[in-house]
Amino acid sequence: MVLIPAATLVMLVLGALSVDVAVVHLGYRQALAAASAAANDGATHGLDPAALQRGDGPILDPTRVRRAADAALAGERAMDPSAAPVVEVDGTTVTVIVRLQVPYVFAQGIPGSPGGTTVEARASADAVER
Amino acid sequence: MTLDHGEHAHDERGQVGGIEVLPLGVLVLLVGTLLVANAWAVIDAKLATSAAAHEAVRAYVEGGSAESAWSDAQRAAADTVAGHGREPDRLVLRRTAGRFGRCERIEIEASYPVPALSLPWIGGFADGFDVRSRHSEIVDPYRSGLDGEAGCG
Repeated sequence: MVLIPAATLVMLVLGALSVDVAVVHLGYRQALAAASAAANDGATHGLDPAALQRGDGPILDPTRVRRAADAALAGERAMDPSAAPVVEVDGTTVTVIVRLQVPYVFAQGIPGSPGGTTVEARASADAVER
Repeated sequence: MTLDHGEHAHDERGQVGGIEVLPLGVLVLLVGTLLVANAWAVIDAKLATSAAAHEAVRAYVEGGSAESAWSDAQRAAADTVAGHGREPDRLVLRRTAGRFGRCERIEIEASYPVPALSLPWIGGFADGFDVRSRHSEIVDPYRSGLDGEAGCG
């Protein structure tokens, strides 16, 4: 008789755990999409127009890259306020590292448990002529 | 008259005490299962809409013209939603910012209805709410096939 409520509780906890893990996975995918969009915008909008007009090929201007990446990430609501996105320029490659705060759905209700977690995603884009 | 200990041990009186807990346990299991199933339905729809919005924006900024870009975006979003096992007809796609042109930031919102009550294997009942996702990207300032200068500032 005691095993039935115990088994019920275990099943519910496992179900809630799977939902919370899926939420974290969803947050990671959103962070990855934001990072890839920011890297892509940085690699296109961040090109130095003067160098292009001179025929020097794709040369990235770090200031323009940073501005484009920041504008792309400005719409992200769940950005971790304690960690600014990292934008790196290496030659013609732009790498963006984004951290998002992902709140748990069910674990928040458990006293003492963390209310959420932080996921980190990294994406790169190359500026190439075609 | 007094009953001896053996009669007490085999007496069925008292079995009712605590039996009301069983329907309560079943109710808790039912409600908990519905809660988890509905939460999962929302997460699943969010995964589909965020992927659809992402693919729609990618297709739009790579489009050849304003008209073909929008139809490309709709097709890409529908394919993505279908790939997630959802019905493309129920997906609503809306461009919330930008117009087709160099340097324009294009933002597309994808929304998909989630029923109020989702049951595993059976399906959903009643109108619930719409799960929405947005994604944005800039149209490449230096791409070919577009009029105008690449003066993005």
